[in-house]
Amino acid sequence: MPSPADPAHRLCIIGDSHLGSLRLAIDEGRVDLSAYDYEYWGATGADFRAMWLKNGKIIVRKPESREKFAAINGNGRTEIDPGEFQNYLFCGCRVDTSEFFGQHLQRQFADKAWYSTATLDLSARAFLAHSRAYRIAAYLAREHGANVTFIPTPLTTADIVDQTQPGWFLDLYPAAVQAQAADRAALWRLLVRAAAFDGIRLLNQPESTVTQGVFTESAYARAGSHETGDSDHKSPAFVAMTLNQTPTGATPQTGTNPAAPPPITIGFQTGAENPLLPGPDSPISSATSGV
Amino acid sequence: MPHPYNDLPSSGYWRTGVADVGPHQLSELWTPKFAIRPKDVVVTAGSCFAQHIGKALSDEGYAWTDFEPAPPFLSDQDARDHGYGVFSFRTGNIYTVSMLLQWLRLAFDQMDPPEEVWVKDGRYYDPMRPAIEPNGFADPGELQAARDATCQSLRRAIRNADVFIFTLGLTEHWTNSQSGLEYALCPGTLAGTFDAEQHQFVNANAGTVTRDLTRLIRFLRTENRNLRLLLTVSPVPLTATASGQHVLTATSYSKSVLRAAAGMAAQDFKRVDYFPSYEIITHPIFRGMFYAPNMRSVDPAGVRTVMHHFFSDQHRVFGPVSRPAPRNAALPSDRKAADIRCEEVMLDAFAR
Repeated sequence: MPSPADPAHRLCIIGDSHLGSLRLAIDEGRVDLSAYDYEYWGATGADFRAMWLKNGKIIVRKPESREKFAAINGNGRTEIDPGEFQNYLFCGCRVDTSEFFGQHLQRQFADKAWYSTATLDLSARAFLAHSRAYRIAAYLAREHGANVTFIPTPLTTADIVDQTQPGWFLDLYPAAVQAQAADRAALWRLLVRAAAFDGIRLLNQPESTVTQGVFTESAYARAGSHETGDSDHKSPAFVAMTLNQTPTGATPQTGTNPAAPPPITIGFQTGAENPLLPGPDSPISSATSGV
Repeated sequence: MPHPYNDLPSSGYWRTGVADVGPHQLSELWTPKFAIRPKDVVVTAGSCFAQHIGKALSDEGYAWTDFEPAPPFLSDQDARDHGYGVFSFRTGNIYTVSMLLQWLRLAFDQMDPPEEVWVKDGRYYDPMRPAIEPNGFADPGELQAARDATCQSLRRAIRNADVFIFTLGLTEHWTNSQSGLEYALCPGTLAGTFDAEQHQFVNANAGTVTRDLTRLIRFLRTENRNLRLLLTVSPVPLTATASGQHVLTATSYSKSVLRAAAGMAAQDFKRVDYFPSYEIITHPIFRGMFYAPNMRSVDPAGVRTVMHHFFSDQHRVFGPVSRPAPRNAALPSDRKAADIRCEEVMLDAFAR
């Protein structure tokens, strides 16, 4: 049993609405966090965006949003002093991988664009840094040496809503469906490497959950998604698969049964053994914007 | 007795056209040969001053087109640092007519890809555009792939453009005496190693530039017979000269040659015109007011003045233009429903 007072065993799980699926995965025993004294912290949508870094603490700027964070936490926590936790798990957090994949794959297949490693690395870093939550995660890793793991918002679920409607994914990025496993692996490598540069272990979506080039299999949709038209949120099984995979980043996952993934204690490594992470001569050089 | 100077418009006399009106009231400096409409696909290339033209056209709602856009999500600064969004393709600055011809020949498979690569600190630089990747390419293969991508963009630009605006910058350049490759910069300045035996200084004369410009025009017409070419001359002086002359007189020589060649091409070819951005910045009537204190960089007011003349003379000759309505980005209509779904997901997990 971890000591509640020891930050080394303390884990804060931060997220937007995707936190819900993660909690269910933990409650259902699909993810084993018994090594940690953990607590949740987060809110949905606009309330989540009220999360801010001020005077070295993570706060919530709006009073009404503060109540939402406190309610999700269950113990009334309205701010985080980074030193309270040595481990952080971010989930969702407005880092929309569909947008990253869509734009890049559209360029790749429709425009036959080609980019250098250096510019792709900058693209990935800029994409991640667009999320304030990500910047906070980077701050925790950089300034406090925290073990930070980040699960970005997964790819949109297929066959829930018509994605060819004006302004929807296939209207904007029709060529993205041409993506093969190697194309997706290359994009995941960019994100994993960019996060590693910030000291963050970013978990890619398991390849076995992907369909139609750039979508998540509908089998991994949250229960009732067809009825509600929810192509965003995923099942607890999906979250567990993401968390329980070995830290090989973009290695395709095959033969996994989404109904009964083996619960494995998550590691929170910073990814030193991850072959996808950059070495000391990585071309990533220019710093992204601060928090 | 009547003669050709009796009934000139006021712009035809120095007193009424210049002296009486002063620098800020000058008008009709340009009588364009062809209209440039907002719907026309415009591409730009040339020396550093040319980058202002593309941006100004874009800001005015003209279809300046970037055929080699930056990777998604790159910041504007990172994009520009890597040569994106500056011109319509990622060639970097093209200072000479012969350099543009070289790029076109490469893009349209009329020359073998240069094998020369510059190496510095283990990174690889393209002699045709060494500044394009500030930290160099990872390996020669990446350099070649990047150049192929630019050649593809260049082909698409030439074949799809209605108007090509090219700003002539220099007559001085360096070539490899063995391979004939023209360099964008002197070897050894940014990367590469200077070799006096191999690297040859060239200062093109009026005849050479005119010949190259004629070749360029014919080349462009072969690939796109409807393409209109608008030439300008950069008002930015030389940073340095290898001619042995003073940099001031070397600048005069270079700009004079370019100005003459551009004017002759505009006289000789129906679909070629010259726009006097050079005169608007450099002429004594403006008393150097558009230059920064170093008397080299052109300040934003100068760029605004140049583009003011560009648009007002276009409108004067061809009438006002109607700008296309900005396109409204379509947004998913169920954002509210999505918010509700997010709440439900959280409630399911946390309010049990």
